[in-house]
Amino acid sequence: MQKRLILLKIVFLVCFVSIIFRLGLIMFVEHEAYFSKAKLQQVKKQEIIPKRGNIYDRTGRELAVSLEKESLFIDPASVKSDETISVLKHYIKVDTDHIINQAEKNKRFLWLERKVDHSVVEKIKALKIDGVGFVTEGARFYPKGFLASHLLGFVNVDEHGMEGLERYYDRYLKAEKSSKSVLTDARGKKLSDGDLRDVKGNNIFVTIDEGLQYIVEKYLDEAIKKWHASSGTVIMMDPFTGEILALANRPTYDPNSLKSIKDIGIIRNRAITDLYEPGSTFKIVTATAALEEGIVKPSTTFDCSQGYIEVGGKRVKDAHKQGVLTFEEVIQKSSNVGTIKIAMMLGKEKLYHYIKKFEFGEKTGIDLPGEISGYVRPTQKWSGTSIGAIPIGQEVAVTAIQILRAYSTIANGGYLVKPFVVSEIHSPEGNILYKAVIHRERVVSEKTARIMREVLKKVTEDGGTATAAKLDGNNVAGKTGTAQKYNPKTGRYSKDSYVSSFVGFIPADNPRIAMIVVIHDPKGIHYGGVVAAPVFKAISDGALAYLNVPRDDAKEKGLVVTFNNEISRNVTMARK
Amino acid sequence: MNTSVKKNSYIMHIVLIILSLCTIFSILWIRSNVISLEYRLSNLEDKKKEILRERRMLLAEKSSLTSFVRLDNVEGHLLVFPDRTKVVYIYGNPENVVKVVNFNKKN
Repeated sequence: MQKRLILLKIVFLVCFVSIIFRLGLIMFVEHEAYFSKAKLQQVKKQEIIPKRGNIYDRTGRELAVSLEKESLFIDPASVKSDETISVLKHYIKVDTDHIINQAEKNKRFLWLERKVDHSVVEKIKALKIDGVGFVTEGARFYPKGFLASHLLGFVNVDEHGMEGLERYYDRYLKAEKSSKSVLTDARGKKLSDGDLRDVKGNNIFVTIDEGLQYIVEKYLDEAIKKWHASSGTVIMMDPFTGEILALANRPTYDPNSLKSIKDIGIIRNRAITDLYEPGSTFKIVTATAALEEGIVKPSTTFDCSQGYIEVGGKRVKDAHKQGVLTFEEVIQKSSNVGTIKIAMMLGKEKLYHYIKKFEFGEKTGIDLPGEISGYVRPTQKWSGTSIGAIPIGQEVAVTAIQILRAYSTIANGGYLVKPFVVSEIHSPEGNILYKAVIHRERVVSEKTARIMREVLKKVTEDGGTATAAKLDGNNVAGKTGTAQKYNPKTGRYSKDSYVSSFVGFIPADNPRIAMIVVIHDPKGIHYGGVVAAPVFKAISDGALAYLNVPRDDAKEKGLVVTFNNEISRNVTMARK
Repeated sequence: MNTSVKKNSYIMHIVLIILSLCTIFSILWIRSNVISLEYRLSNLEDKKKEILRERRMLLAEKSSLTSFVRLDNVEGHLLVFPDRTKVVYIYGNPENVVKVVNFNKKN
């Protein structure tokens, strides 16, 4: 009995020791191998949905934000019947042949529709169809819809910037794909790891103001409708800094529904990509150059009584016979004859020098994609008629932003500024990664700029070409432009296709806003003073009220109260 | 004496076994509690993510609803800019400036 008991104890001991030995072997010797096997079963890789950075206006209002949407996929090989596909057809577009084709190839994954609407997702999920699933993806949303669409641009289905700021600043906005490891149990149920990190791109703050942008777009829409115009552009800029306050083009699109775009041309940012002959708005280059060179004074007179001038065998006419005009009146009445006479006094080399000083024929360097440089021929390539065409804005091709920049130079006292759209870039944590620097370079003297401001004020006064731009309460300085469009088919200027424009700044004596309005192909009347100047006036009215800019006569009307220290003290004492 | 020592030793054995069992049970109980907490935490994290997602959606919707385009197009035109002939501009030391202005009374 005793022997048997000892034997049993030995057997138990051997078993126990062998178990302990095996455990030791697993825990200390084969630890790594088992650990990695367990990890494979328990730890799963989970993709973190990258979120593109937001775009805010200058007051912090959201212009572009990142949301999440679900994308629908199908496992073609697991689709058992056509019934599955026909059920899905009630909610989304399905290419049955393609699914069958992929199933035959034994493909296990096929996108059915990316970024499906939330309501549709709920309905499809409720059907619990085998072989159909959803993947959450980042989705861009533009809360303001059409507003500033050409400036903001859009992204493609994979969240890559395709146009506008989305494209230009894509490297800042996009968030790199990332993943994290999550612990799961045997059934694949997730356990918490406390890792809630988000992968976000940087946020961008732009110089535009939603309020100003809305005012601009509202009145541009009205003008396009009124004149049955083919397209139009308005740019509003701070003339001292180059900050773009608003930029709009028509026709336009809603970046939230890109599928509805039928003509790809409407996504083009015409303000910086489309060239046109500026016509009379270009006359300030000639006038400024003549003043700066001391060739003319505001009182210098020019005989324009013939109503035309012959240049290189070509007759250039004025719209109306003007008689003898002073330098000021030449610009005020937009006399072609007078301007050409000024240019002839100046000479083509000096004129070209100033055209280049204003950087026509060069990109402004605005931080938007697709800007083109425009075209100005060097003097060697000028024809005999060029001195009769270039000073009045023909034979040159410019963008709207280039013309606006030239007028900003007059508004700010002689500095050529570099326009820009992005003021700051912030990291997701709020650190400033980039801050815009104002670039400006003196190109004309303060004196010349001051004289030109006075001359341009006269354009909107009685006797000028743009009385329709005159504002109640503030002086407006600006210039109209009416240019015939060149018809490449006939090789001549068209008689029924015009570009009407007005460019200027307000308040003329202390400018807060510089703005250009360009309307292409207005029907009926085509004069800049009739078509574009009223748009300038309407926008200016709204913008000055929105910005709380005082009227020029605010002091006289008793609308300005200035508290000096003594008054402040009296107020404080009276309160006590 | 000998019987008493044997009895004590027996009790000690029993206590040790019970303690060991209790310890093992406690460890298992704590471990299972930790696991269930991890499940609950995971669920809460998912809920938090969902709520944050919804928050982002609602903020975007709010931004869309408060856009100038909407405000100007709703019935009653909520977007009205001030009439500049009725705006008084006050300059000076902002700390001591009168901050309440009554436009109901004349002058």
